[in-house]
Amino acid sequence: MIDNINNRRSRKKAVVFETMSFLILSIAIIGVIIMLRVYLVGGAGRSFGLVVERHVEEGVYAGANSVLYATEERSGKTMLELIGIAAYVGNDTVDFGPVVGKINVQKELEWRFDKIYGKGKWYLHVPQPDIQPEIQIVFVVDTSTSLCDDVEEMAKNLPFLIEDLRQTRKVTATIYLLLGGANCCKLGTHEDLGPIACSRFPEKEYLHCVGLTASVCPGFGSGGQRDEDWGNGIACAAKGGPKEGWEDFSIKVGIPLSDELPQGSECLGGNTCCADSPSSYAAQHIALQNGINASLKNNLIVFPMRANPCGTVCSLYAGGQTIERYTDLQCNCGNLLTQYMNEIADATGGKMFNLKNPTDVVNAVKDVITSVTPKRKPELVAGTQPPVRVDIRTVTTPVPVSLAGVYTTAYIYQWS
Amino acid sequence: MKKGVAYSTLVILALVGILLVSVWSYSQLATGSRFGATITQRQKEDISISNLELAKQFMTQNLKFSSSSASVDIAANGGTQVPKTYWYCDDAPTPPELNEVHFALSNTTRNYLGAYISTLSESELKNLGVSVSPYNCIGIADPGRDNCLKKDTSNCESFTSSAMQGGLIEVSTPTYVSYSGDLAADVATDRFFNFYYKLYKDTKESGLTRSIATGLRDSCDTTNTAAQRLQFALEKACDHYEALFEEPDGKKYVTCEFEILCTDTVNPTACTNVDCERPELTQALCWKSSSAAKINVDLSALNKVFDSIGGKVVRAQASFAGIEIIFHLTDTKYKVSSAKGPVDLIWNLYAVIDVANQECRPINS
Repeated sequence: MIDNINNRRSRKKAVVFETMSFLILSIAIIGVIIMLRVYLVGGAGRSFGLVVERHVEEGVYAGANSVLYATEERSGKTMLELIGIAAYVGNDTVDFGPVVGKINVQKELEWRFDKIYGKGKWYLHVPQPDIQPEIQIVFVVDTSTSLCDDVEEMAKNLPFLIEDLRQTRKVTATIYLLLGGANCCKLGTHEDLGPIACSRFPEKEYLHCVGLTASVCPGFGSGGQRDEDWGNGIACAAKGGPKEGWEDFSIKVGIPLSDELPQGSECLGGNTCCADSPSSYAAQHIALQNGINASLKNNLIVFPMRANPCGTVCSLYAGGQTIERYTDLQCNCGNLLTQYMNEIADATGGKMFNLKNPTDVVNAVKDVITSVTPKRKPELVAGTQPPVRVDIRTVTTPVPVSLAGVYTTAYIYQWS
Repeated sequence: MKKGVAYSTLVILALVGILLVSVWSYSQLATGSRFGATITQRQKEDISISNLELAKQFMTQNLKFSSSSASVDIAANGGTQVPKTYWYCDDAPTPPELNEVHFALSNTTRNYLGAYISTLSESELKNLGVSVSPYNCIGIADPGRDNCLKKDTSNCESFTSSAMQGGLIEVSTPTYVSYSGDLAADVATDRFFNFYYKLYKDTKESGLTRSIATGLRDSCDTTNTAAQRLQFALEKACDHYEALFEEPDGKKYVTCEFEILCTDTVNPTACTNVDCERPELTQALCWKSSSAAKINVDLSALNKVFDSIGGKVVRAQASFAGIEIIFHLTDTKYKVSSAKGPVDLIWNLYAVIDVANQECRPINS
C-alpha cells in the first residue's frame, strides 16, 4: 500500500520534472530565437541599409566627378575649368572666339547632371567672386573760356573722387585738354586764375593730364578752331588710349566735356545758331563721326557731358585785356549740341549728361562709374531647388578661378 | 522517478547544447556583422586618398590656368621675359631662341602657380586638410617644329606644362597621405607655339625686311611722299604676316596692326640708335633631364636659310628711313584664359630697322 502510494508520488514528480524540463527547454529555445532576431538579424539589416546608402553616396560623388572632369567637346576644356572661367567673367555664357563660339556653362552642366542624376533630382550653385575689371577713363576737355569754372571744379575734385573710387576698385583717368587753353580770370575782380592747362591737375599714379597736341595725336590740330573739337579729340583719345595704354580687359570710358559743337558753335563764321540738322554743320558732323568710329573700334563707351553754357565768363587776353561777356551763343544754340552728344552716346552705349552747375561734374562721373560697372551674376545656378523633407546628399568641390590666387566652391545637391 | 530524473538530465544536456549552439551562432553572426559594420564605414584612408586626388585635380587646373596666363604675357612681351623683345635689331633678325621662350614661359607659369598656392588657404581645400608646397620648376613641352610649321594648325594648338621639383601635396586629416610626383596639364586651345615657330622661321628668312622692300618698290609713284611710301610698305608687311597665318581653307584669324614708335627719313640713325640687343640666356632650363623633357627641336636648319640669303644682315645700298616699330599680331581664332579673362592671344613683335632704299625705275622700262 505504502509502496503504491510512493510509486504514485514518484510518477507524479517525474511528470512534473518532465513538464518543467520541456517548459524550460521551450523557453530557452524561444529566448535564443528572440535574441538572434533582435541582436543579430536586426544588426545585419541595419548594416545592409548602410551599405545601400554608402553605395548611393559613392554614386553621387562619382557622378559629380564625372561631370566636373568631363571635357566639353567644342572648347576642349573640362567643366571645372569652364566653371572657373565663368566665375571670372561673372556670366553663365563665355565667348571663346569664332571657332568655338559661345558656351553656356549652365546649360552644359544641366544636360550632363540630368543624365547622371535625373531631371529635377539635383541642384548646383557656385558663388562667383566679385572680380571687377579696371575702369579706364579718358576725358576730352574743351579749353575755351566758357569752361573755366567747370575745369576749376574738375581740378579741385576729380583727384579725390578717383582716389575714393579706388578704395573699392581700380580706376584710372587721363585728361586730354584740347588745343588752346583760355586764360581764366575771376568775375568782377579780374584776378588772373591762369590758363586751362595740365598744371592744374596734379600728376598721380592714377591721374594724368596731357595736352592734345599734334605730337600726341598726329593729324590733329592742323588748321581750324580746335579748343572745342571734342569729336576729333575723342577719336584721338580712343585711338591713343590713356597714358598707361588700354588694358585688354578694362572698361573703356570716354567723357567729352564741352558746351559747344565739335569744332565750335560759330555757325557760318557768325554769331548765329545753326539749323538743327547735321547738314547745316557738315564739318562738325564729320568730327563727330570720327569720334564715333574710333570709339566703336576701340570699345570706348562715350558719356558726353554738356557744361552749362549760360552765364558770364571772364577771360584775359594778351596785352592785359580783360573781357567779361555773356555766353549767349552757347546758351542759345544748344539743340544741335545736345543732338550730337546724344548721337555719340547712343552709338557707343553711353549716356549724355546735361550739367546744371560745374559741381555736377563729380556726381555725373560717379553715375558713369555706376552705369558701366558690369552686372555680375552673384552665382552660377543650375538644376532644381531641393524640395523640403527629403534626404539630400551634398558634394562640395573647390574650383580654381582663372585669376591667379582666386577660388570659389561648387555645391552640388542630389536627392532621390 | 528514475524516468523523470533521466528526462531532466536530457533537458539539462539539451540546454547546455542550446547554450553552446547559441554562443557559436552568435560568434559566427557577430563576425559577419562586424564585417558589415566595417564595410559600411568609410575608411579614414579612403577619405584622405580621395581628398588627395581632389587636390591633385585642383592643382592641375591651377597649373593649366597659370600656363595659359603666362602664354598671354610672354606673347605680349614678344617671346621672352624682357618687356620688349626685338625680333629685328639693327636689321639683323634676332628672334628669341626656343630655350629663351621655354625659359620665359616656365618662369612666368611658376610665378602664377605660386600665387595660386599662396592663397590656397582661402579655398575649400583648407577645410579638407590639404596643404601644398611650391613647385620649383615648370617644364614646357611644345608640339614641335614639324607640327607647328604646317599650314593646318590643328596639331599645334596646345602645349603641355608640367609642375615638378619640390611640390608636395599633403593631406593631414583624417590620416596623413601625400603626393610628391609631377603634375601635368594640357594647355588647349592656345596657339602660342604655332605663332612662335612660324614667326621664328619667317624672321630668319628676313620676312619683314623683304616685305617692306617689296612695299617700297610697289609704291614707286612720284606722287607718293616718303612717309606715304613707308606707310604703304608697312601695311604690306602686315599683309605678309596675316598671310603667314592663313588657314588651309583661306580663312584668316590673325589680324595685324603696327605702331610706329619712331620714324625718320632724314636722319635714320635717330630711330635706329636703340638698345635692342638681349642679354644672352645663361641659365639652363630646369627640366632638361626631367619628365617633361621631350623638347629637343633643332632650329639650326633655319639659320642656314638665313645665311644663304646673304649673311647675318641684309644691307641695302642706301637708307630710306630708320624705324622702331611694333607689330601687334592678334589671334582671334580662340580666346585664351588669362589674368584678364578670356582674351585674344596677341604677339607683339618689336623691330628696329634701317629700311633700305629701293630704286624706282621709270614705268616704261
